[in-house]
Amino acid sequence: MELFCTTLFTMSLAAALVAFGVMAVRFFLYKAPRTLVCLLWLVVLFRMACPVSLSLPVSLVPQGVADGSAAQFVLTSSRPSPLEIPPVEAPEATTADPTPTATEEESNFTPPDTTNETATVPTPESGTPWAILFAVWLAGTLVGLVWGLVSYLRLRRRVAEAVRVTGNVYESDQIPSPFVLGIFRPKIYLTLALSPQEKHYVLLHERAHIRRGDCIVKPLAYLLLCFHWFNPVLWAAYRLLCLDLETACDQSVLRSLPKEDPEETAGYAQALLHLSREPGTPAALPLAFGEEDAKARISLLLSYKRPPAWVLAAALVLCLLVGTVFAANPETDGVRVDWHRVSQGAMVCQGEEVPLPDSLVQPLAALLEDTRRSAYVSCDDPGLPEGTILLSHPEDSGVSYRLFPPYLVQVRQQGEETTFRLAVLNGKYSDYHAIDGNTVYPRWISWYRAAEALTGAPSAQEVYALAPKDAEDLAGLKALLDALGVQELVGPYTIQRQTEYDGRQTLVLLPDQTPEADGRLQQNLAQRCLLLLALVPELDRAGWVFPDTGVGLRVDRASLPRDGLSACTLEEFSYLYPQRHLGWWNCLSLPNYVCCSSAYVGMFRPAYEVAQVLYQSEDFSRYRLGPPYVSLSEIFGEFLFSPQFATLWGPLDLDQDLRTYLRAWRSEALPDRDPVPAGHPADPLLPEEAVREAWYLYRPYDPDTLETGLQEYAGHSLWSEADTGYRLYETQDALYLAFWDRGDSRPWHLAWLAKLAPKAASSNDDVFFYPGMDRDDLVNLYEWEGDLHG
Amino acid sequence: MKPTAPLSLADHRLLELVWDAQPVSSAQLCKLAQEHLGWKRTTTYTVIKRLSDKGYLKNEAAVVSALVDRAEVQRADGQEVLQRSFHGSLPSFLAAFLQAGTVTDQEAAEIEEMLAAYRQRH
Repeated sequence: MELFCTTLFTMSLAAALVAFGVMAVRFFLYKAPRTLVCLLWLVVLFRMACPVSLSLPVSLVPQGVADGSAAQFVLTSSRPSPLEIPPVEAPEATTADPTPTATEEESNFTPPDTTNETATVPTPESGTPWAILFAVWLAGTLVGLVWGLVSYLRLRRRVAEAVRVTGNVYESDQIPSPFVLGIFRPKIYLTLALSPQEKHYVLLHERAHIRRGDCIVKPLAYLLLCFHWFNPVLWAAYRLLCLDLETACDQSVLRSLPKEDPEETAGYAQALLHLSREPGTPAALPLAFGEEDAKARISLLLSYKRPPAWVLAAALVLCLLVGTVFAANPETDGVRVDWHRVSQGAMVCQGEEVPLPDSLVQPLAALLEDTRRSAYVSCDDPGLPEGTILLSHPEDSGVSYRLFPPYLVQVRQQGEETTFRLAVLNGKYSDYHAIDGNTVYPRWISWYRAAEALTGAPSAQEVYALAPKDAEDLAGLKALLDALGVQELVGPYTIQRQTEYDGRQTLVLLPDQTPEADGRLQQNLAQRCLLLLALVPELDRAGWVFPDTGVGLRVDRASLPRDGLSACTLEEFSYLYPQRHLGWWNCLSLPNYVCCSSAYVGMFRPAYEVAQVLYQSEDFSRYRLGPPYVSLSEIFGEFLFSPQFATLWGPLDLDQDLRTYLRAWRSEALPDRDPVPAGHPADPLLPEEAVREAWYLYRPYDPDTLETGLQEYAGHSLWSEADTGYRLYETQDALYLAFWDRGDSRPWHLAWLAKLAPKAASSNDDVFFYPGMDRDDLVNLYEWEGDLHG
Repeated sequence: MKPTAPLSLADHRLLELVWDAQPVSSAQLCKLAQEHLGWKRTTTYTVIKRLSDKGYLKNEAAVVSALVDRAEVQRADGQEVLQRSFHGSLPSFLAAFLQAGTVTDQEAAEIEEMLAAYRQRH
């Protein structure tokens, strides 16, 4: 139903545009044979009737109309509304710690604070009532059709007793003026009071109508007009069409008169005048002689002169060209044109489309082709079908996510169609290992390179080439740091090489002035330092000190992958660089569209909220449980938390380099070393067979050091320190959230159980990320399925 | 009693067919109407019924015959035209044609003959 309405609207809009065009052309072709204009009207009819058309590079109909997005825009009722969101102060990064662990550098990474005066938030999706629209349309159409049919039948009845004169010519005393009636076997009906001369001209005229096929065109036009009854432009066009049909017919008659002598013309005009009537309602079917605007016709008649052949030829050529152009739809260039201009820093809203420059579409397409990880979505289509990057509310299953840091792409398959959505990952991207061996890596690089080309930042190669051979070469190091964009971050600065107390070689950046407090600054600097370390193996640490505060941070080589990554190859650097460098800072300098498509996109997802608390243990009050917003796309999809989700240890603070994973545990065989604790009770509230799938949330940590660290460890275990205690149960119809407590002296027991219900994803709370958002509000998106980290 | 209801063109034409063919079966009349007038059977039957109701036709056992003859109808028609447009004046009626020059020589001759015969009788 929605498809029908939008298609119809699109056709109608296109037809209206073409009608305008024909009206304009008509003005220029006023003196030319009117048949040409009638041909152009046929094009309008074609556009009214046919939803598809040939594609040409040149077309009257703008792409925005032809591809249906105009219709979508007009018809769909959900619209974003601007909302003032004040810039949020980011909390100061911890500066006291001289030896920050890798966690801070890696994970406390947030998008930059950009202009965020306005961000748009979608209004609740009220949904266009397609059924009502359709019903209204149908009613209007039926009214038109019925009226046409009724008038036809009434006229038929009136002339039932007309007597035949000859062939298909009849006479009747029941009709006010002569006309033609009938589509397939048209009959001419004459009045009785015609003089022989008048009769002659009338017959010429009506026969011309029949010969020219007007008996088919006019009813057809009326029929189509019924379907487009809501379009006033087309009504005007119909009126003009009727007039033009008559005029063309008159001209045809004149051409057939012997020698076109003025006496005959005058005779014809006289007959027309004699029989003219006030134009009444445009009767759809009978083509009456003299009914249409007689004055205009007579004046045209009397001034009609057969134009010279060259004028005819030129006019014909013009008509053919114009007609073809009108008939065609524009070629789609593979990237959908955006409807909403997204300004830098503004958040792109649900339903908006963001254009990507061509140079990015192809690499992205190649990138997204790799769907080996997905169990249920396949993108077998070679190449991205339309290059459409949509940002919208996922509605149904068939959705998977591909993590290509820092981009997250949602792949959605609906039937034959596959669409891709760009989402944004917050700063805590997972580590830089290739997601799927080698296949993704090169493609991701090409995507990044393509994006890079737009930023104007130096490429990885250029930066790599700047790496000084000699670690003493301060000038070289400075040049390298400048290439990494440090100056843009902190302003003018000097560097100093130090040997730390423990013998480690450290490079320190000393900005001349303390840059403005900016929560992102530290992270950005940290990234640059890491890149520096990757390129300069002799250095063990890099850091900075601000002059005013005397505070600084140092980044340790240990934060780099593969045990600190000494001797970084170009290839490895090419992989590191985009992640660290083409990060949030650079997003500011990215052109609008990439900026908006990558950095400032919010994903609006269905969220769940606690609908009903089913169980609470007696000592439940011990636990601070905030409103657990839990977003699930599909049970196989990601798991998103709002940070208000509290745990035994306080709010689930995702900033502290806690990567929380959602893992299906019920179907998995539990690792041997973590047997189910003895005495773990069966869930009293959810009988086992009812639970289709069960999930637990865990935080990976190093079992030896008990530190939550960047290092992934495969040996996650249930009911271990890593277990947050939260469980999700999925049954046939519902979703439950449970919290199991493992007290010090008590065995595991259920502390809290609630049923979840979907929550309309309309409020700010569900906006998981937009520029300037507080770090605490950031949410992770993760692909649960499979092992991300190789 | 002479019927006085006005006759339409269709009525006239059917009456003419009846006058030429009466007494005629309705089926045959339909065929004739189809041939000469281009009417469907239903149309013919409608007109037959109308004329019967008006009193111009008699339709008994599917046989149709006229209750008035041609001359009467013509006279009535002529009277109607005269009264309506010419204030009942026959000369004015003729004058309309004579002035327009739409009378042919042959017609003029016929009229003169008719006038002569009329004078003789009266």
